[in-house]
Amino acid sequence: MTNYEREFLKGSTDCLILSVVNDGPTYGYELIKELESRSGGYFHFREGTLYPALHRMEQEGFLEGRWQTLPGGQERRYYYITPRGKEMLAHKRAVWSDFSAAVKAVFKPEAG
Amino acid sequence: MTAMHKKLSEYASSLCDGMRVDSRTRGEIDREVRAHLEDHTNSLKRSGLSDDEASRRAIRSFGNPEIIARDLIVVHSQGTWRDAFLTSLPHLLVALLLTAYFRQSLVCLLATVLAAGLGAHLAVSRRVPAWSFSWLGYCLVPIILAALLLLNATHWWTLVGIAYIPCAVLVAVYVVRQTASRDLLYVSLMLAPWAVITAWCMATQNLSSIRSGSLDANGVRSYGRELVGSFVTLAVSSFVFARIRPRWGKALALIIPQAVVFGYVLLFCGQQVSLWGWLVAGLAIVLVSLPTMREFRG
Repeated sequence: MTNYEREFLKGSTDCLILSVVNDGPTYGYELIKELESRSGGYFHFREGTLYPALHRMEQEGFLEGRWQTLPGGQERRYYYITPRGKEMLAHKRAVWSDFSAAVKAVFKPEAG
Repeated sequence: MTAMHKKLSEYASSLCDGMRVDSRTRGEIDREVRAHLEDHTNSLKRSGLSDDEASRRAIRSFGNPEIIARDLIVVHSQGTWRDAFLTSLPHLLVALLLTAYFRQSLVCLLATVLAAGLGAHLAVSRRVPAWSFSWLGYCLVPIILAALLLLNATHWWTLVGIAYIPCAVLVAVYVVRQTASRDLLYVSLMLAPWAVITAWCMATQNLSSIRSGSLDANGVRSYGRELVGSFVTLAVSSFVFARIRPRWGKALALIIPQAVVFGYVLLFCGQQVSLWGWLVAGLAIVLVSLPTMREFRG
């Protein structure tokens, strides 16, 4: 991944995390695998960097972490999206949609 | 414990051990990191790697523990609005207590006692969270004041002083050391009221009356509004301290109010303070601010 792509990913991390958690509560490792799988391997995080982002979003009230026991007896910290997180996701998606439409229009202007 | 678990455990410890956050938060991060590493290691083992290789790869892909710990400290160094309010509350209570004294108000006194009791209960039940350090400084006040009074004890009180004073010093040193092991900035947060109390004592009392323990109430009354203002200033700075994220900002939030109080005393009470008074007040402010200096290096 180039520096440009890395910077781009950095700015989109919150939106990507919220999108995955919005589809159902998940824990750190599962979240990374889901991001990798949904992006066809394009989003490959340095795994430890995910936790500062998750904890920050929890402090900001977008996520809520709860310890839960898996059927095998192991405990995992599941992250749930909060109503505030849903609002933020809707806002970020709208911004992204407008932004990507504008970029596409600049890159490939339609013939008048 | 297997070699694999030992390796994962060592990594998680290297990430969490030096982390200057609440012990409860540190414990949760430790559990979360271990769980993640176990999941990844098990997944790699299922794909055919040996225990040793799987744990090595899981650790490598988790990243540099120092960088992750630094980022997590930054995230957790910002308290919630509630934490910020609780950090500033003891200073507000002292301001309220002083108001109760100056205005002879029973309502203010009752409100102070109730809020102090509630704060102490919360601090103990939450296993000494970050905001409780601003309360801890006031808890040391009666211990140290009793020791100062016993310095001039006579008759059999001298024996009590001989036994009590070393114990009081040990308690104070122990509390400061324990606080410093958590975070040096909390030492300044905890001792901030001491610098303010010292500056006002030197401004409104003479050294002989402090030594004899017979404080001059008129001296205190004549600066009543300014005294209350000093503790409100401390409350505002503690609030900012708890909410602000950069550590240099936290350090500034601790230094500025002390400088303001010292400057005020210098400007308006300068003529009535002896040289010794200035030295003691200045030294108190320097000592209390000293732990914050590390934040301005490099």
